Amino acid sequence: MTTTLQPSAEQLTFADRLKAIRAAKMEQTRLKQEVIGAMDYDDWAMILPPEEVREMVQSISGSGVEINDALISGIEMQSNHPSGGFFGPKICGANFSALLEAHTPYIDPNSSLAGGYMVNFSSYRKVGWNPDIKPPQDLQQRRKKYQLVGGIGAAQHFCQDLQIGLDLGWGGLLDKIARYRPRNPDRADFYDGLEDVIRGMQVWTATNIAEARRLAQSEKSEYLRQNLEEIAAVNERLLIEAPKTFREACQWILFFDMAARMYNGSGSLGRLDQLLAPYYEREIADGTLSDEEAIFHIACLLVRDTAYFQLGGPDAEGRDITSRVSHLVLEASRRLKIPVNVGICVGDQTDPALLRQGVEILFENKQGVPKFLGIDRTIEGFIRNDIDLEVARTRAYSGCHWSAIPGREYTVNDCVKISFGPAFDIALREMLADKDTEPTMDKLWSGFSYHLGLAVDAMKESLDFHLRHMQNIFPEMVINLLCHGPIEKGLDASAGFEQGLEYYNLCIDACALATIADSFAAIEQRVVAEKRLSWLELLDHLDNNYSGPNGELTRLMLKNIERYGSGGSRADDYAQRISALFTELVKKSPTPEGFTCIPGIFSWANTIPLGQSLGATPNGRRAGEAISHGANPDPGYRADGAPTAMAVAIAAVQPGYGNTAPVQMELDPGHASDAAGIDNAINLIETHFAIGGTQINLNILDKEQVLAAHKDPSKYPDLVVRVTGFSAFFASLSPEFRQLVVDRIIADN
Amino acid sequence: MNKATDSTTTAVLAGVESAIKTEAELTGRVFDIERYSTHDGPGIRTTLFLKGCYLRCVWCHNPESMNPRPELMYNANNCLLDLGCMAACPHGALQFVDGDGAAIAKDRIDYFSAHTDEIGGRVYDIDRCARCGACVDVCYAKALEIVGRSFSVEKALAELERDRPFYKNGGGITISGGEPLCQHRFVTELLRRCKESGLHTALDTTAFGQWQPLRAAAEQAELVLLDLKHMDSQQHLHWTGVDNQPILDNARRLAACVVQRERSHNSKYAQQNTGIWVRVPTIPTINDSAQNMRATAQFVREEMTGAVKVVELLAYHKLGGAKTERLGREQVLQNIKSPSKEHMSALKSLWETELQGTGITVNAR
Repeated sequence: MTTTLQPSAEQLTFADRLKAIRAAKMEQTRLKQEVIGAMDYDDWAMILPPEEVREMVQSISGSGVEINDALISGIEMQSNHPSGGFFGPKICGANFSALLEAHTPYIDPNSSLAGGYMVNFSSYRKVGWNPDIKPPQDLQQRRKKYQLVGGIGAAQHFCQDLQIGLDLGWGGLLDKIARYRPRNPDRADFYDGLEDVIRGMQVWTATNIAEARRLAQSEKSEYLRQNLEEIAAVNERLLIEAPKTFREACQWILFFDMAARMYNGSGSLGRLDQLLAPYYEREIADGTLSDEEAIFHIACLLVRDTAYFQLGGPDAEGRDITSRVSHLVLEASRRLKIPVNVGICVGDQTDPALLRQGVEILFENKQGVPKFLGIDRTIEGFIRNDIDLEVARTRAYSGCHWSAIPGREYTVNDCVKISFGPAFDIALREMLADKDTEPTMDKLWSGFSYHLGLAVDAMKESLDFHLRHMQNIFPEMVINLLCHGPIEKGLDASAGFEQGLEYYNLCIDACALATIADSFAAIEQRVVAEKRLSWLELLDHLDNNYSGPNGELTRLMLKNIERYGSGGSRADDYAQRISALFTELVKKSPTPEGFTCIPGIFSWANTIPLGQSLGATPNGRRAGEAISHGANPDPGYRADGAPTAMAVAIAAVQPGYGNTAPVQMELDPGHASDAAGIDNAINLIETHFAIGGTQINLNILDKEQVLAAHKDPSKYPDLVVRVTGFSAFFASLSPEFRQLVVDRIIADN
Repeated sequence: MNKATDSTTTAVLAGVESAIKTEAELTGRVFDIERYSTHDGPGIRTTLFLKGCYLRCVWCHNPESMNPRPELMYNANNCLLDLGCMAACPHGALQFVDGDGAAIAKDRIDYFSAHTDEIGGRVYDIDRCARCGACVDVCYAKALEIVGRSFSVEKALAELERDRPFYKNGGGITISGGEPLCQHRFVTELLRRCKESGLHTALDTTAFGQWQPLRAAAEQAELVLLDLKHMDSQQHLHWTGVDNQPILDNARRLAACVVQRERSHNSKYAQQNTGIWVRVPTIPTINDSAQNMRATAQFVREEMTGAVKVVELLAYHKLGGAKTERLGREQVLQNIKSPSKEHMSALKSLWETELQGTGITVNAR
């Protein structure tokens, strides 16, 4: 076993090296902003391909949004369809392998780990879905009518089990495929595809080894030269073998996760502290690893992929697994000061020291990192789907607002969105078009329930359609390798009908809660109770987008009611009713083919497009403006902007089946200028979870700085904000997205 | 208490109390409720701000708290000039003038609301205004606001209860003002009810006023936040409008009561979250001299021994300025800036030196 070179007084320290790595990362980010433009998503830690092989394209991201993207040019993709697309496991594996083989190496001489990824495989897929396989016409119509987002074609958004890879290594995985291949002779294409991916990974690793050796020859610093030699040696072993050391484990995880990221955007590490703990404990006992070195390796891992992972929380038996490694991972994210998507478990049994450390970092770095997971509430909720408690405890935070059982559960989490907006709008218009009946709140509610039910049903049918076909279109050729079932059965993880994985718990998220709760309340107060305008006048104002005579006054009249979040208001009641209704509609039956669905409330970045396609609403929102954010009240919900009021309101609208309705909160740095401020923030987090909350994304934002950065983002390259479930460089966001963040923080005034 | 002070006190009290007595007995006039209030006592709190104050501190950051009656506040930035308020006012208290300064007649509202560029300004006749709120009710732009809503004890309790799950680490509720003792019956009853239901109670007071009502209210409060603004009685009178003698007298009495209470309930009360927290607003050039700070510290050390757990030096900020304008009043402290961090930390050191060995924590913010 080769130990990592230890820095000495006359040589570079880990801190020096990390500083240099971070500086390179900041320059890469600046360049991306310049070349790609606005990036309304996670930073992903992607590096631009070198200019001589760079090609710019319009594409669709792994989360299904349109993006500008850079490709490595000159890679030929095979096609097996007249459309020019390629579909199915064999060709997807082969094409991805071709990409890996052609991928430019990336070695930072300061880093202890090799590799950096530069492209999205999805951007090479010119055709996303096989045009021969269409959803039934009527389903397409209903999807359009209710503006349903996602479900069909959703990729990844479940969690691999990295333990499988750490145990087997690439060689062991190839052996495993060889062992199972004869048992499923009709699945040769599937196994060919998986083998191709592994061979591609080995080639990509080898390219990086060669680059490390090449750089070592010309490296002037003896210290860094040795580091480069070590990188080469570590990776040579990892070509076949499973990782044996802490550094090797970090390296293996990094290469795998970058591949998963490139293939279809997956960035789910699961429980990183649990995965790394055995290596750490062994080497600390041997005296071959120090805490400083461990932090450094973790930082080298996290800087190259902004993956989502969980720290702390229970093992299957309910014992909190928080360890020294959990604290070191958190410390690594503190030192990096870039977007890192780490979630800390907060529950009755979890280590309070981890929460305190997390809150201190949050206030110190002001980057929205880490986020907080109400682990007891999500486990309690999850078992209501007939999941055993022991299994439920192993579910791991792995994406914006979601968790999945590593390697065992297929979820399409965060890919499936139903806005309450269209169902409400259609119900209101249908009711008012019927001249024979008097409009009432009850009728409006019943119309809303009816249409929301149809929307949920259409989404369930969509999910069945997805599970039937996805394996033959764009199967999960990377994550499959680290799941329990795909290699054994020769089945893709998305093959729900054949039970590729053990669990299929399909996410259905709702959006626009505040928009529609406030709309109901505004009508009830202004039209029904106070009679300040008639139903038809209301409709007229909506049709005219509040631009006609008295339009602005009417808009303000409707907007300035006691809104959702103010506490004990009509709108608070409606928000609870709407959430309960949605939960009931999702849970009353599985999909027509029998797959379990789990409700959540989270809009992710869909607030903007779902707003663009929705007309004016009775809460005073103009046509095209963004819908409300997740389960959050709209900005300005209370004059004091009290975080406790928000925490109480959102705790009361939880669907309660294990998927989340997160709090997105902005706190002024003045709230935590001292120890008492930290205590108050801890209390706020713990209490939100105690009264039912499931997840908290917290930004500590200096109002003046954000406003200045909104004017000229380039002056604030280090400013990181938690946009929603993800954190991002503020300067990387489009003006529209920056505006959403700005609106949230200036509403207090 | 000397006679001059006594007569000042009585005169001030009489004015304020006569205004309050028009309300039903146990109704409070509230101008704000703040949840996640983290600066008025320990932990997470909800603070109820009551209207009416005996003092007229020139630096007051809640100028809307002074007058015990409801007041109309006008925020010109929000005003759409649709003139709906003028049409709604049954008392003729709201008028607008055109660009030439001539009053706009009610029957021409439609014309002017469509030609807002011709409006010259708003005239508010405070003597005609009955604070009925008719104008506020139609002001959807929230330019007009009535400051001072009536709350029964029950209604106030319901608001204070909302964040109960967050009241840990000494958190709870604070009754502040204005000067809460302007409405002492309401305050005492509300504190009693809160305490009875297990909430940590704090009373934020200037300590100006008669001793008996203060004692009654303070008995229901586990913690008293007590302001000391200036030790020189002439200066105090100049900047706050009242003599400091009754305040200092009450502070001594309160300290004695607290010491006695803590002695008899040693286990429960001898904590930092009980007793008295002295708060010193720190206003540059007015009360921030080393001499005044030292005198204040000496008073705390010598005259309030054993009762004070925490001293908080509160840096002056200008938040009150905009609200003063909205109330149609003139700002007094035009040129005073917030004290620097360095200055605050120097004053903190001064206090810590003066209070060495007393066990009192000094905070500055």
